[in-house]
Amino acid sequence: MTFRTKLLFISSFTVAGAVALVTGAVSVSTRRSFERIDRERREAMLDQFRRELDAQGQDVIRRVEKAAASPGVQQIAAGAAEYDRAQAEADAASLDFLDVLQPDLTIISSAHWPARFGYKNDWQIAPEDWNAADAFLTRIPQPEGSATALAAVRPAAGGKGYVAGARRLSPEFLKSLGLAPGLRALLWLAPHEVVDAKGGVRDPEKLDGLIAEVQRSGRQANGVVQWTADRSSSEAFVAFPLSRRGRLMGVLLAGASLREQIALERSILWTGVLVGGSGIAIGVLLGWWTTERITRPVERLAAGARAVAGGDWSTRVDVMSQDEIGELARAFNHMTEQLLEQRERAIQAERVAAWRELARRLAHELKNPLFPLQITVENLQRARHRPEAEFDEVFRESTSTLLAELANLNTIIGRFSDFAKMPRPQFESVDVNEIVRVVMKLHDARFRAGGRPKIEPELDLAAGELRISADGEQLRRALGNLVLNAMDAMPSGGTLRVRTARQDGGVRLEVSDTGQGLTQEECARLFTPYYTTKHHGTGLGLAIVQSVVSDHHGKISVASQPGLGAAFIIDLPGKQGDPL
Amino acid sequence: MTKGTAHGRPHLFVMIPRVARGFLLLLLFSTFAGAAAMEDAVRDLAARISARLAPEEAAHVTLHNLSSLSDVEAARVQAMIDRALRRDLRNATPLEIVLTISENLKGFLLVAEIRRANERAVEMVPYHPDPARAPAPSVLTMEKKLLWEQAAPILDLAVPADQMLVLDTTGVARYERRAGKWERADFVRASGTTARDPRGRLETNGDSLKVELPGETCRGTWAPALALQCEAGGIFSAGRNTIEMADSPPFFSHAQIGGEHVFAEPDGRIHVYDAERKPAGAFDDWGSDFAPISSTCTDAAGIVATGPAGRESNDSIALYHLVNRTPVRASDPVEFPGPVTALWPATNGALAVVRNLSTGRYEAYSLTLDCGR
Amino acid sequence: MKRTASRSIVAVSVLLAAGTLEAARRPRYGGELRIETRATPRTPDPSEAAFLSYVFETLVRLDDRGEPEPWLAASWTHEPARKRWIFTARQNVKLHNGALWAPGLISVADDQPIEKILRDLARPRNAVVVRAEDGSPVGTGPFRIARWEAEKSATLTAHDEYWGGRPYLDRAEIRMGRALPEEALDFELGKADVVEIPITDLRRFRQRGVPVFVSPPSEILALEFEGTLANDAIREAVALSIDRGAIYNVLLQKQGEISGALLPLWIGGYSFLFATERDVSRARQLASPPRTLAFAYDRQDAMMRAIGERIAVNTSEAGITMRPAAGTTADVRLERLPIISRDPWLALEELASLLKIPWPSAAGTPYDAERVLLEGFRVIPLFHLPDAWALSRRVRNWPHLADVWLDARETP
Repeated sequence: MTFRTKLLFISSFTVAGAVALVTGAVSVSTRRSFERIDRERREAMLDQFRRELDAQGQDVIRRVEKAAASPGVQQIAAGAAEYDRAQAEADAASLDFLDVLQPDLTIISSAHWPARFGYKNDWQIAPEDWNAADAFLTRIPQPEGSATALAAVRPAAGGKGYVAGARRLSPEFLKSLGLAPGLRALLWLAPHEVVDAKGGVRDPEKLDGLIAEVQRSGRQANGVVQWTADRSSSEAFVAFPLSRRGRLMGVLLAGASLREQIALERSILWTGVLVGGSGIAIGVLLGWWTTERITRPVERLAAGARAVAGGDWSTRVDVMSQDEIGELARAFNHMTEQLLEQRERAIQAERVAAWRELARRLAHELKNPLFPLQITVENLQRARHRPEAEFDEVFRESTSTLLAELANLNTIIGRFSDFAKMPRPQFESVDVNEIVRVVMKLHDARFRAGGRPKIEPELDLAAGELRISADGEQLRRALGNLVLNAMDAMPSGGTLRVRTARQDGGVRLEVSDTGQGLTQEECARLFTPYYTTKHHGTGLGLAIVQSVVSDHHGKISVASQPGLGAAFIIDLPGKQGDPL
Repeated sequence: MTKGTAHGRPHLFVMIPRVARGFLLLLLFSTFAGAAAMEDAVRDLAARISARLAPEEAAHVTLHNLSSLSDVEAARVQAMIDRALRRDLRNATPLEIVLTISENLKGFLLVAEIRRANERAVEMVPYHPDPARAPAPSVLTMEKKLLWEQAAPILDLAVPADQMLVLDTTGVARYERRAGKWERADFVRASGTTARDPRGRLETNGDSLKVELPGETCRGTWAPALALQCEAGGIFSAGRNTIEMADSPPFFSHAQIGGEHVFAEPDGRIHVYDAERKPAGAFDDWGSDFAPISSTCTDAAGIVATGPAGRESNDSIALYHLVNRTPVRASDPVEFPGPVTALWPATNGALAVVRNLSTGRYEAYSLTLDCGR
Repeated sequence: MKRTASRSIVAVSVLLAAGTLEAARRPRYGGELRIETRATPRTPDPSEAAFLSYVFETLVRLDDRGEPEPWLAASWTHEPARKRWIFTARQNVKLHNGALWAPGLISVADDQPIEKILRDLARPRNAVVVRAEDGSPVGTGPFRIARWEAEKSATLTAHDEYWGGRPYLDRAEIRMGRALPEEALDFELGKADVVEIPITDLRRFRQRGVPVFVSPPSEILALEFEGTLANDAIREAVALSIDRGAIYNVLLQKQGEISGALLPLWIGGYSFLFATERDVSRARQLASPPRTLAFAYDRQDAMMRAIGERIAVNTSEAGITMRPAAGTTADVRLERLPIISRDPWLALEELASLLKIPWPSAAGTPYDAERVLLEGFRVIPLFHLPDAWALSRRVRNWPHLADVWLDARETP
């Protein structure tokens, strides 16, 4: 993570945190205010509901008393009327339900369910309520379901039996409650009916949890109901139980819409987001300006360091300020100047060392064939004074030796010449696996040559073709040199392993032997031209290999330990121009 | 005493005009012609029911009458079927049979449901009455004949041979017939019954005589002369007007019909008990005095009983049958000039003692069933 | 199922009829009787409406005891050699068109017992109907059809040359397809002399002093299960859960009789053998688990509606919910089944046909046949109900139409 990014995060968090804290505090305060207002309004609504219920109860009592006193009901109670007469009496008294009962609560006539004559009255009326003076809520079974109603009971004429009358508690009742905007009343009527002032309520099952809590506890309960996926459809309810003698008849739900509150909270939130966003944006700008003054010079320094690492030791960094960053830039520039000078000196030393090494090797290589040449000529000089026949023989031998050594000299010079003027590679698409097979086949006879311990070739080639852009001839030559080196490293025989593999878009070629291995110093000097561990040889083989690898923009390395053989690893790019 | 010349009062039968008498004869004749067809139907049904009874089973028939057949005739049907299905078995397993007399367009239908634990079988026999048959009213006439009257309360009276024994509150008197009139020949004073509403009973067996009085029993002979030895005890409660017997509460009257017992108890009701002496019902149709009566002209066991009138009014006695433990009147009531103070079974009938409200004297009547008229 | 088509005006003979005959005064000839009925016969087919038995007569008729008696056939003899019964036509029978009825030889194969042959000949559908040249039906009865408007009205006029003596009435006007409230209104307005009244209104009419006539029970009020409900246990549960007593005492006002049999007591004599007791706990066991049945009944008929609702309340105690059927399909229906004859066999055969229950040909007695027909509770008889009519004060001798006369001393 860059310094700029870190700085950006820190400033952003600071701003956001502050804004969030303020926003949260404002939201909480707003919500509490709303809740307090709604609570007061609901309490007022509940009071009004109770007053209205009382008034309706008094009305029911009057109607029931009127019905009980009517001649028709008296006739019914005396058993002198048809079984379905109660309907007419209920209509006359404007009651929704009217049962005329015997003292044992057997129905004589029922207005809403005439067929129940002879059965016991089944309204949910507690025994104490049969003699109660007030009206009360009750559930009245009907042919289809049941209804909640406000009921009253009066003795029948003559004191024998009862007249039970009731009016249904309907949505119209809720209309009579004058409610403030945003507030509404619902009535839950046991067991499953929920109504508001307009009638049935959609999705009443959403109130089940709240109702269940009231049923369980028998006390007031609060809850929020979200009617749709939109959170602003939420409504906060307070549920008041309507009970009679321990039996829950219904629940009055006072609901306050949370739309405004939620809208305000959203507004607060958006404001906070806006403020926070702005703060963050400002922070970003500030950060950018700040970091511009700090991180760019640092980046330039870093880029310079990378260039230096990449080999461009002439990299210089602009000094833009006189502060610590400027001081750092000046120190960097000084460092690179020093590095350049040191490299020049190192290169010159290397060159001198390489020339010395080359001169030494040349002297060594040339000395070998020159010595015999000298001896031979001296022999010839001496042989001049011998008989002709003897001189002829010596002359033949000497000329033969001279020619051989001259050929050797030519060979040596040819190698040097070859090395000096190795051609530039001709790149084409070549299959490395095929090159390996060709080279190994070429040397196959040598592997099995008699008179020497056997060398077992092993091939571990990657599947398919390993095509790269390369000069096939040069690769074959390089590979051949490695194979010859490996064979030379196993005078007692062994295993020559050649492995190819795909590596990083390019190819890895590995040639390993099971010979005596190399020491670390040997490994380090291995690719120096004319460095050889062999007793014969120009030492140019590995140098040629290195040259070929270098011309192909590859890398060559060696891994070895004394006694454990050596492995030459060549990494070549897939295409020329591809970095390795 | 000859018929029709009872002491100051004409006989019932004499009062019926000749024409009506003939009608009554016709009525009774046609009734009995129909009865034969009914008997055939009952016999047929009984045979079918018997075929379904296991050897150890005895039928217990309960009757329901859903037809226009009179209760009397229905009772006859029950009596006939009971007789036809009677089996003398020890430890018989009772099998419940419900006999319903039903009726449809074509006539009557005797329907027997034979009910076992998990099955029910039904047998039906139609009975088509003779179209000329008229619905029969009471088929039996009861005749009363004044035997004796006196000032002292008569408790019981017996007429063995050509002598008359009268038990009253003073003692037992023996009367002989002399010159067409009863004259006292002998008298034994009783120890004195001090109970209000005194009661007593005479039983003769050849020459021997047993007298039951409240708290006292006297045994002896009445021929050739009255000779009695008395001792404490007896069926009548001492100083009371109730009868006490083993296994029964105190009662006024008792009759056994089949296996059932009927008691007039001090609570004023008539109680019916089954063979195990378990209460089986009660009714209020009778007074406290009744007696079983046997006669050749009725198959069903009958009881003559007083009506539930008070003691200061004229009483009547009628013949009843018990049908499902309910009294069914089987004869027209016989009226008396006062309350009946005693009613006992007698040979071929019953004996009724009445206190004549006009004269204040006690009159003893014999009651017989006249089935020839 | 057109159960009301054969709504009886007069078909069921009456033991009570004799009670209306006043022996003190002689009947008066003449007058027009106005009758209203709910029946809707489409054609003057004697089997479609009972009053047509006074137009088209049968060879044999059932008397008051349900026994066959000679009618248009004066006698019958058996010819075993020819395996047939020969019925001798009554002499001097005039058709409505004045022609003499001379059918010639009437023979019936003796492949069945004579009792069954006579019962079949007594069926209204076997009445003697002669086709006139124009194809119209001509009968022999005391009344002829003067006018026929299918399902609406008919006019019967006296057949002056009727072999049994001209009827007292000149004419009978019959309005058909009338709903009970319409009939009651016409009666109140004096537009009808004889109207059908619901038996639940009998008390009201009697309290007002209106002469009413009540026949012996002549129809069955029963529950009929459709074939789809194949569970005997459920049907039995329904039967055991119904409180007939309360319905009889309150809804039917003790008119008719409670019955578990198809034939009423006065025809069969054994109806009491079929159980009518209620056993709710047993019903609950049979009906477990609780279930719902679609229940159909005539909602336009106040009595049927009240009884249907009461039955639904009764069965709910056993865990069976009877919901009003939607549409025409239902699991169970409350129906009125007519008893078309005093003869138990004829009546049961007709009921079996109506209920589509196979006739138990091996039954030896009507009781046995009825037991088989009622097996499985495919039909549950509840009550036997009488027919009831309100009569204007001038009507005498109802319901024997041939003997009805109008008393001139009474205003219509």
